[in-house]
Amino acid sequence: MVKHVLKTDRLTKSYRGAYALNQATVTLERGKIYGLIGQNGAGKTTLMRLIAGLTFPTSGAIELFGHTGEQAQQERKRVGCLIEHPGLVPSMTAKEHMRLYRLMRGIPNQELEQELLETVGLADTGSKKAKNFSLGMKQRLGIALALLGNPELLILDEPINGLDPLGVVEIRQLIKKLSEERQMTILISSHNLPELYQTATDYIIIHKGEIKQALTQAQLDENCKHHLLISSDQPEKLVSVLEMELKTSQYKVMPDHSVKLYDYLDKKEQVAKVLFEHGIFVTNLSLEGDTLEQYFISVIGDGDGNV
Amino acid sequence: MNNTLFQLSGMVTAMFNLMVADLYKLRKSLGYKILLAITSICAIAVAVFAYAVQQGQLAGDMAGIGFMFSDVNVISILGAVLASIFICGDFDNKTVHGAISAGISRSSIVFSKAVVYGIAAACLLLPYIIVTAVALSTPQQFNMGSVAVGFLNILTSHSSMDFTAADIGKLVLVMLATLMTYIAQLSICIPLAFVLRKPVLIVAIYYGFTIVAAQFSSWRGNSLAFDRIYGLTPFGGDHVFLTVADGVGKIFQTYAVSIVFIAIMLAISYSLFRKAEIK
Repeated sequence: MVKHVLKTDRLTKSYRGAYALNQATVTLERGKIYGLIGQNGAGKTTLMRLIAGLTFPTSGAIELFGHTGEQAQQERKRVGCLIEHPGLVPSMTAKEHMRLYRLMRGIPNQELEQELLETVGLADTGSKKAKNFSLGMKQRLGIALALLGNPELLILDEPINGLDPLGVVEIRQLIKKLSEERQMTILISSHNLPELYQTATDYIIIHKGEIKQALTQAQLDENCKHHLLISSDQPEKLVSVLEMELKTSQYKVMPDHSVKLYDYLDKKEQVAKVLFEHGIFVTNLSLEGDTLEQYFISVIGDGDGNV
Repeated sequence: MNNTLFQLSGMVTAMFNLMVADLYKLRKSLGYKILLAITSICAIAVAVFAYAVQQGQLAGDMAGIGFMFSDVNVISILGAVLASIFICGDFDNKTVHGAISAGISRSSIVFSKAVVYGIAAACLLLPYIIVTAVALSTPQQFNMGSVAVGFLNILTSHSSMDFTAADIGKLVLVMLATLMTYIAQLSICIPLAFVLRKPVLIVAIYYGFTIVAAQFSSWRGNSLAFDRIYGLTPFGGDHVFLTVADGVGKIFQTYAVSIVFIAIMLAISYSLFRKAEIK
């Protein structure tokens, strides 16, 4: 089994000399959720459209499930897409859409229609036509359509656009479930970076058509320098306890005498307990660090507009 | 070799699936149902006009108004509208995007769209075929004078004729040849729709084209060479003036011209759509 589902090699797309995508090389592995981060016009949708076969590269290559060229088009049967807006016929209901796309893909299992509508919470829309759907309902239907055929690679461009807070949580849980249970690879773009941080396992940062960075959640956390910020009335004793009792030298004393501890990030209670037992009066103990948003800005360079 | 066969069978399956999906969509389309209702009304209206003109209940110059309801006129507008709904509509609502990203090849898309478009156009013309057949089965006479083209020409040329079994067989062949000619004429809309994707443009260009084509037909007597070349298209020759009196060879020539013309239109459509950007 090929470990990677998608590989792009110096993928470039230009329109009249202007690069929408420039030498983009990415590899997507099975079962991971990739957060594609970039500003408006950074090239996210262009990359997704190239993968979906809606447009052709000016240069470079796409390898899909180990196949390139014409064969890659055949492999797109294993891909589900929701790019920009879902393809909906205004006069058709959710169920009719499911049937239309199921017939188009040649999927015999009729029960799948209702099953997927239930999955995205649209089972009760009855005879309501797509033209009367809210933006969130359209997005949900788009996700259901993308899931037809049990894809191995799911491409979602701004899937939580227009969803209410509960809908956002439901879609996040669905994405995680699909990735964990079915080993589905998911490429997801969103401007909601805090939300993306809760969903993705890997990140691809794209800026002005170029892939600036591809990193795992662990690498991101490392780069974001997450730490426990500890303030106390006895910084010297605090440092001594960290070294002697918690056996760590992963800390930094700041000019204001607060201490940044890069260890024990998930064990805040243990740190608090040990410091208390040694009579250290802690005035602050909090998890701090760059957010994905701040990190993204640091990668692309500040002052370039909105994310 | 095996790989090629496998790919070919995959392509055929994809085409079939897409055709089934498109037919399902047409069945649900209100727009298409309206077009069907219009052609049904027009088919009856044109027969009534032809009957009334023949009976002298309407003046002969009213045939011009009756022509507005005729198959050749109605299909030149509604056929283009159908292409707009069926092909341009799929670009508008992104059904084409869904098909491509689902791994369906562009050749399968073009071919299956063309087949379903042909079927849908044939269904639009079905009321004319039915009305013509019913009218011919009566002893009544019909006449629309010089504006009788296509099925209207069949109706006016054969009214009150006593059909033998062989005549009926030939009549079916003639009707199918006329139907095929219309579909071939409309096949111009396929590349237009795949490239322009704008309904208004398709309808305007195609209707304009049919007017120009009719003008070309009126020049037939001026040049034999032009007449022969133009006769190789479904717009020229006597392809829309076939009658039971015509020889089988002439009828099959119409089939051949139509099939070749449709094949050319499909080849053009595919070559234009093969590397086209899907916005």
